[in-house]
Amino acid sequence: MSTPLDDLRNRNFSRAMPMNALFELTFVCNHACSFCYNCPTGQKEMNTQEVIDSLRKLADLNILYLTLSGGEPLVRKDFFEIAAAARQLGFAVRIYTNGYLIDEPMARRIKAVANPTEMEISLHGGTAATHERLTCVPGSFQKVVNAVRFLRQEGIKVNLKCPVTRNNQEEVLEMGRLAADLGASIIFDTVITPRDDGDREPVSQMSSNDFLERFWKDDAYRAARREDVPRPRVDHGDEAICGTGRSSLAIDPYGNIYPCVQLRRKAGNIRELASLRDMWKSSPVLIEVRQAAVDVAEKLKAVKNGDQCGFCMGVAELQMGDLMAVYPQVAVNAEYRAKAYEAWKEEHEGEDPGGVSTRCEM
Amino acid sequence: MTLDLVLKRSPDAAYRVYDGQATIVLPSHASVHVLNPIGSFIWERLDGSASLSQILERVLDEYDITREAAEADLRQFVGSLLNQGMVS
Repeated sequence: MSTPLDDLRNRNFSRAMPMNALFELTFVCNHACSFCYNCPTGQKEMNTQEVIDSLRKLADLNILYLTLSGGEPLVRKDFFEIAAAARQLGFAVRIYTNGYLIDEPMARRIKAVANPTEMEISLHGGTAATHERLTCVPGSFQKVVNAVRFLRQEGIKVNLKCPVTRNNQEEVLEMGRLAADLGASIIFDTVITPRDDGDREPVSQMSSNDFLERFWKDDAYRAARREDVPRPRVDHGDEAICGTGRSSLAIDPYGNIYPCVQLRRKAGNIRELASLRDMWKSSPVLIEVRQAAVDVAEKLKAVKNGDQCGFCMGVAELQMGDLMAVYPQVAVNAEYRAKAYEAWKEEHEGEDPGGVSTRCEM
Repeated sequence: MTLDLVLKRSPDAAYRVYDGQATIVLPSHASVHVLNPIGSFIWERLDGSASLSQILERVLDEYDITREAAEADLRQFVGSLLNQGMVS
């Protein structure tokens, strides 16, 4: 049964009324993760006033959920000035960080100034050795653990985010237990993406097929994934597959506007626009990707295991040069998801686990 | 509850109005509320400048509703907002 919030979200989604923005405040980072997708160009990043002016334009577009991201957003010396302005402008703030700078006083300040609806923190392993092999920063694992504890002490919801690669796949269960112990939720992403400049090196680190089979099927992983069975996507007719350029947009540290964080087709520059509203209605880039998201949903109906594809048009374009091409990582995940789903149905004869209608709106 | 009260939305509450429906996010409670149009009309006027009786008059100007029903709804709605810490 849908809630008033579901109904409102669905209405806004259908009419391309955006509710979410992701703002990359900087590409500077205090970690050096080998699979990071960011590609700084060396251009000058926006200063405090330019960021705050941009926030005003996002508020005028009626954006509710604002994610402050990076790079590492907390390395900006003006981070709290920006966060305070965001609160003043009525945004519900989320912060995506590696957690390295969050000690107890910082957690208190985050609560007092940003009062985020949630924090998202990257976790790359269940042990210090694995996490730090990927971040290249000694001590960073304990910093994450401490950061989560301090934030939870402040009553802030924490989501850990883990891109699963060959390097950390055998620690997924440990990471699930760690998250539970810390009172945080955790999301595992088994689809590794190329860098924003198209470099596919990160994709070569994708987890093994043997692991994917276990991850999607075995009971032991269900608790870590926090779902009993990988459900197929529910078909809502002509609905778009995701909210790119429809319910969300992304802005990089130079002010460039994209349909979402993954789909890097420039729609404009926020510094050059008096208002975002006109661009939102008339941008050829946004109009095209909105339609493509509807078309790809239709296309996936004819693709093997298409209803199990967590498809991302941004990755498709970056990796395959085609917004609607099925890329290997999503196909292999869909294959093992479908196998796990069939196995579950055999074990639970007569039961219908139902489908999911969740869609990416970052 | 006296209608002389002048209340203000909690600074904790983030909100936007979509199609006349206020969507309110309360980080401290990890909750999201979607108000109906009359609730949204009242919510937007809880800015610390008008008493509840003044807001009641605005509701009566705007909506085809009896004074008794409007006042009862206003009391119930504002009471609920107070209980949830959404206004003070």
